[in-house]
Amino acid sequence: MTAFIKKECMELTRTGKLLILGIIFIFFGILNPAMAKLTPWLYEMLSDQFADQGLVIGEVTVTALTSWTQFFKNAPMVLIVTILLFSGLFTNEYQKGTLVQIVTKGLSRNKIFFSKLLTVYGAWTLLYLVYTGITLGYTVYFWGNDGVTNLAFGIFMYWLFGIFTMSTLVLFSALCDNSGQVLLGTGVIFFAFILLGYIPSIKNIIPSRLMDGLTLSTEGAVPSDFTEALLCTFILIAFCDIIGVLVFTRRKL
Amino acid sequence: MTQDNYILRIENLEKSFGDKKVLRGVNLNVPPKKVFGFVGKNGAGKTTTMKLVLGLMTANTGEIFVNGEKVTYGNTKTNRFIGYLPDVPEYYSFMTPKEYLSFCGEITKMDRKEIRTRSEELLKLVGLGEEKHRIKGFSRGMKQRLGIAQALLNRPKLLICDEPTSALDPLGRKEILDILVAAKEETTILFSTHILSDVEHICDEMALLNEGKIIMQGSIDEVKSKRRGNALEIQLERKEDSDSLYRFICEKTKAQKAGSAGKTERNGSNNIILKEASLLPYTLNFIADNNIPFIKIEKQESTLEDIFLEAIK
Amino acid sequence: MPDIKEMLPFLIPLIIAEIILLTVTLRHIFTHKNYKRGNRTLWVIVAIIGMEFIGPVIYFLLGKEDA
Repeated sequence: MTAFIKKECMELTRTGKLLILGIIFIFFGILNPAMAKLTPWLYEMLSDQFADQGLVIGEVTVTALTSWTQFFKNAPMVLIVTILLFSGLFTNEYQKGTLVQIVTKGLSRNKIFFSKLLTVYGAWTLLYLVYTGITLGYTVYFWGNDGVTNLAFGIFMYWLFGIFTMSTLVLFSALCDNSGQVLLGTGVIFFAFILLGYIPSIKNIIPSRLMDGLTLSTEGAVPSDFTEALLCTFILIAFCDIIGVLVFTRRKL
Repeated sequence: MTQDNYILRIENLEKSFGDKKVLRGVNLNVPPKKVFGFVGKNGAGKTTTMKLVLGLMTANTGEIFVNGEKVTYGNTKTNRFIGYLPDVPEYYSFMTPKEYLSFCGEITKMDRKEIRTRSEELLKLVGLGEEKHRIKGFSRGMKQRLGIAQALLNRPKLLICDEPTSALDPLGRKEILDILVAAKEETTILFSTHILSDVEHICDEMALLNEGKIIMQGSIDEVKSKRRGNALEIQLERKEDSDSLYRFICEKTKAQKAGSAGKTERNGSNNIILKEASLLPYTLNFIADNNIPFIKIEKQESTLEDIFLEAIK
Repeated sequence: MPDIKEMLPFLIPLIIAEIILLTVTLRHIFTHKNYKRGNRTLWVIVAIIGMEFIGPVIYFLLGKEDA
């Protein structure tokens, strides 16, 4: 299994995927505080326009919270880019037939599946850490970190939402034959949960609730508000992984 | 030989895709340390059979045993005995041949030292010893040769090659055949092909698959002798001799029995073919009596080509 | 417009990341003759227009040849 994970990592680095993702995550990591820094100027420009319409916008002060607002606003972006670049994780190998040779060498399909799963989990975790680390560094340097509560928990929840999304990606990779179908499936689930988030009766228990980490600071939410969503997400992750491995061990390679 | 001595045993294998029956009860026994040719025209079911042996598909009915163990679909344990070379092998193109072999070695749990020595030995055998480039730009022949190296890496008991020579030029083909002959020292080789001269060159045994059934199986000599006719070919130096000899034989056979005109025929101007060996004494007498100079008298060997064509009629 | 000096800690790394991404992509485009779809001109244009990041992503996703 380590050999296969090593191969996956080698593939990520040598095909340049990790580099591309790394640069994009760094880029957005810097963009968050940069946007925060530009906020007063943007408001100034807008307030001129609004003033014509009779609206008055007060003076805005930039705080750490402004930067973290950007962080959660851009997080779906980096998540989507990750989905895009990992959409061929399994399907490229189905199409080329490279897995056939590995399977005929006696490596069990379970091991292949979990190696790939761990690789995407690992890549998302690493990249998300870079994204978070950069934003954190800039934010603390410019504004300190006052005014945000339970930030680590909020960040953790978004990470977990990412893990959930990666699990659906891997599940669809086991089900589908090409990366287009994988993207479609993963995308439908992703946006379906975002839409379901507008239904008041269920919005607090579905995984997309985990994207609301910011409310811990802005609306006085407390971590225990998220217990149901966390539980639900853990169950769905387990569900995706189990169904995924069952499908993968039986599918045509 | 008891049943478990066969490295590969296939019993009554059936497989259909939708309505199309591809295999209709294949039975096959492959003894160890032989080169076994698996012959059939395109679409006869060769690749399907091999994929079933490798556990890449499920059969409708029938059982397969590799080294005495039953083959199962999905997580196929018997694959540890098998080295497989697909018809169009594909690799992780971002690796070099050496890296690919060591990756293969690691997933089959060979130890480090063994991997290093074995992959050097094999890369040299297939002529890729000096190749430092990534697999990315490899030609088909190179990929095929690397395919043999990776298939032989963990010293499999059975090497399965799916049409290893079909897509190659004559030089590439010869290289692959030479490598297979060299590999015969340590393993059993089952290879499918529709190129019969390859079978004649390197195989010890063969089976002929047609329309989902094995219609012939045995050593190359056995298969050939089954179809070996009694026909004789006589080649004479002069055309006029051949004319008179032909007339003589025709009269002779006519005298024996009516309607036996098909027992001899001309083949070109100087050759006469006798379809029955019983005609030989008269013929030889005639040649001796008339002092006819001849070039050769020989038994006609049927080639695998003839057998193949006749069998699948 | 805020003081450009204040923006430098953001601008410099952003520009560096930008340049690396674009260089990697263009180098890949120019060192490969065949693409999954499209041709060289198309991909160069896509990479440069969608420079901030989406262009290179689209190229690596849709245009990059596998083998």
